[in-house]
Amino acid sequence: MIGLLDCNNFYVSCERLFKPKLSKEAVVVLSNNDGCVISRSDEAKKIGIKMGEPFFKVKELTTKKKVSVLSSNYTFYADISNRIMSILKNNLPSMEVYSIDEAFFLLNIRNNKEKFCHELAEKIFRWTGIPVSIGLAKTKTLAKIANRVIKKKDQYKELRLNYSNVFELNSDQEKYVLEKTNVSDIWGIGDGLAKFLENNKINNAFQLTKFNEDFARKKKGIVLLKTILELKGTLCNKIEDQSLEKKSICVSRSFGKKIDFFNEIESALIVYVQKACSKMRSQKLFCKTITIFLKTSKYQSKIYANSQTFNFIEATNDTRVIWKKSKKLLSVIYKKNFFYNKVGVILSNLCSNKRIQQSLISNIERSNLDESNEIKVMNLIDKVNKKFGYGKLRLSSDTVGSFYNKNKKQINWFMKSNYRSPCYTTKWCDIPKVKV
Amino acid sequence: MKKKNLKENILIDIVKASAGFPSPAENYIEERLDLNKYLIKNSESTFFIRASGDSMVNVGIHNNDILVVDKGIFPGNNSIVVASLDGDLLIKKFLKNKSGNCYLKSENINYPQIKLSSNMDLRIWGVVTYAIHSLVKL
Repeated sequence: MIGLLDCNNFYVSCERLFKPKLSKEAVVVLSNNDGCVISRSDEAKKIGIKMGEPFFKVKELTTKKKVSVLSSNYTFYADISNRIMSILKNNLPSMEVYSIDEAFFLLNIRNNKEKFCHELAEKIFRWTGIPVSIGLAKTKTLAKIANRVIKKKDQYKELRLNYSNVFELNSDQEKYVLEKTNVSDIWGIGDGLAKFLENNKINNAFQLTKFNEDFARKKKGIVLLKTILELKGTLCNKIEDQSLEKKSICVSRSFGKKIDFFNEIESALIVYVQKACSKMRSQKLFCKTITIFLKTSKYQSKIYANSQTFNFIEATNDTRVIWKKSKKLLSVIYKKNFFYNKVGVILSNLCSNKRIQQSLISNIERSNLDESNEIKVMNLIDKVNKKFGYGKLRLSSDTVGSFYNKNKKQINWFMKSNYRSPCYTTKWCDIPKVKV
Repeated sequence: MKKKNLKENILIDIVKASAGFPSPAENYIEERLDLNKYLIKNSESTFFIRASGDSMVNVGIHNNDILVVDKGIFPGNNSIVVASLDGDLLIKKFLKNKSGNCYLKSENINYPQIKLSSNMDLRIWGVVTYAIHSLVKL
């Protein structure tokens, strides 16, 4: 049996942890730069605030209805997420972190599966304050649907689930549940596939189980075939125990204001490049390929977007080398007189230090890679920054050193996060103060 | 002369590193004491909170102390708890007397105790397990 654990309104639930006052109020959390609504409390959903809605469109409504509005605080959410995942790991034989607020797991017990899950959910709630839902079924795709049933009880009224936060999808209700689930709401079916299926008169999950498998495979490939098989109860996607090695690392943010000067874009990019490099080194990886991209907002009258990629002869993790190239790539794609809203860096072709292919003209001995000065310097930078705070030791051309506006300096690309809560669990100066 | 001495020193150092006797303590090495392990039973359910106020001085909680709070522990009678009362967090002693009445008691004669009634919204947020009090002025 496969389970999918999903945290309810995760970001909002995190924000409520140290502010019990919020637990009965309508709350929304905004995406980076306070752009869109990305998490809503049930009360906010009832008011009619939609997922993904741009903040400026609902700003008036939130003031009128006294909705608490918060900027996203990913540092805090990540810590709470790690606590939940760690509880799961300690209580289950095999689990896979699927996203910041979702995990698949294997449940090998015969009896009382629902009771076990209720107790697990209760423990997570008591230990971390985060309410969770657990869907159980034969496959990952079905477990996703089982979880959806809990979240959207009013779409599956005949099950009369009321308040339960655990649901096991078994053969008695399978047909009913699948019929009530639209194809676009199935895990792994995106907009394009959904359209294709609807054109073939497949509207819900049950109809999809009757779809011609050979035709599906021929037209849309193995992914759709796997989805069909999983809906029928054949396990195709296993639980991935070990976190897979990352394929790429991307750091990019949209700017607080639109900017057109090369210098300003460059001063943002250098922060992103350093962040990406230290992220890469924390996983003991090296990259062979870098990509820089730059774009204007979609809503701009003059639209432009471009990217450039460069392959190193030899994989590297040296921020200085990567920055030098990144700056060159940026100058290739930068054009005057556009108002940009986003720049970013992607490190790809990642490998661990044992698998580095050395160039013939390299001057570093392979066996001494860890001893090379380049790597020693990088390790030192990471150590200092870990101890004294990110950005304390950085490239000299980086005049800013952070994503956020700490000193209220006038810098246009800083992210907007006007309503951000403190880093309650990761900074001593931010731990919650409670009245004694 | 000086130069020569220096060279000899280096040589001796190298010899020391490559040979020498194994430490007689080798089989007796234990991990150094770690306060984290002492203060934290479950790292997933433990949070740090800064105390603000003097109503609990008699149990040793002073203004500005750092409190170790375990959300996973069930509170018993006389537990020092972080309670959420009508939406506000506060730290008090949780008391239940023989007649079944519950109180949130301060540990300072200048503060009254709060008798809990059914129209109050009380949730026990967590149990305070340790208070960390600094004895140096920083």
